Amino acid sequence: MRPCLVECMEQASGTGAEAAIRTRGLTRYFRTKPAVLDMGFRVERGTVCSILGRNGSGKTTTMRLLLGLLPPTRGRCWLLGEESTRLRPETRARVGYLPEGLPLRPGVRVRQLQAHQARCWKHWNPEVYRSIVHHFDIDPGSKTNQLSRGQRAGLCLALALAPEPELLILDEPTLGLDQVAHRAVLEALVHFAQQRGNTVFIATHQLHDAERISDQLIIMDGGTVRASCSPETLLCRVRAYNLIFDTAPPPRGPLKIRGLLELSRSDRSLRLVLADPDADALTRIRDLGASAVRESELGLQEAVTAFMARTRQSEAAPADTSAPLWR
Amino acid sequence: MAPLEIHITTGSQVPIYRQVVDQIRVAIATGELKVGQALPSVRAMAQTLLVNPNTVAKAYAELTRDGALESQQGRGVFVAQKRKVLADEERLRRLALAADRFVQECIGLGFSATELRQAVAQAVQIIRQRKVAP
Repeated sequence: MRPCLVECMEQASGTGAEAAIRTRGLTRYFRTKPAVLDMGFRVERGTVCSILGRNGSGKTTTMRLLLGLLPPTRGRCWLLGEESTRLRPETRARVGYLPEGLPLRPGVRVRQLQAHQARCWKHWNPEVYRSIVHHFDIDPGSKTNQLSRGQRAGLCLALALAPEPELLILDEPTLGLDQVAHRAVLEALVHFAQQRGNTVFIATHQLHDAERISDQLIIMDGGTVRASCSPETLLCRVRAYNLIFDTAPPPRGPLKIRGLLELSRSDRSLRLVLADPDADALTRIRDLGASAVRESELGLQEAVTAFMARTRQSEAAPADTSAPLWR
Repeated sequence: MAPLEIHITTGSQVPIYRQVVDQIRVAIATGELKVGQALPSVRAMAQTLLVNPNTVAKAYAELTRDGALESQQGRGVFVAQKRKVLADEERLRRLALAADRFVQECIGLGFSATELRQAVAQAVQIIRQRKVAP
């Protein structure tokens, strides 16, 4: 088993409140290939959770499973306390979704689209819609295919937020946006998160955004959850060790150290990145016979990448089977 | 009164809530924030800094616990009257921790003890100049 960092998020379950999102053993195969494998996580209400991972790591499939757009092969998931495969329309109406690529029917005027959407939803707040459309400088008379990328994002966001959902699910909403539009999206998200009990679940490659707005980060790789914790926890529990070897070359072969995520070596040095190193791991590092060991902290970028570093980690992986998951 | 300026650096090793805590502490120590002065609401601060409101709330909660701020029900959060909240041992422990972090970093960059002492003196000087008359 590859190392995994899962922090017990403050469990609201004890207070009887149902999580905004909960999954158990969630699995989805496409033919013989698992896109999502045995995923178990929860996102509490009133929090912002960013789901991070390389392209093809299973983020979009996870979202589609959560929304009930795709049935799981096995396992279960719940949105606002209701099983995704059996969401009632009333519950579905409490969830906003912004799919990847901002799909908008071409050739339709913004005004018409808005009128149509407003009729579709039982609840529609024109004030919310207007303020976002205004924020993105969108002319209601223009056609959807005449909008800039940033304006398309703004329009999608306005359409998703106007029904005043409690849970907002976004798939890479800031992809390819300029700085101004990017900031406007973040502002709208922070504003949404301010309302009591509102929850955001966002897939992104923008680590700087994730660090700013998230209570919780979920790092996915190869369809599984590699870490689920707060940004602070990731910063303090993922550590790098630089080992200098003055006299003898560093040991060859795989290293059997619990929590080892990443290993890189040169002639005279080793660099290890560990998730939540325990006393035993530290003893093993000391026993490698280095002439100097320096422990250092990592930035979020490095810490997150270490969990996705499949190629570099492969060297360490075979011996790592001993690591029990500490879920 | 100049508005409180807080700068958030993402991608650093310091968590965002800690950056907020540290900068408010410095602003209080230098007198940029005066006793009794109101801080922006959690919402306003989150919107300005473009960070998670829970992060700001956590920073305010820590500062309130340490006695730097005080929360007045329904009115907001204010800079508290200066009083000693932390025990001497705790203050010393935190000093040692900060010194350790600083020294490790500087030694790694290859500076001597004398150069370190000069750098500290200079930094203290700069903070003193920022200090506004009470």
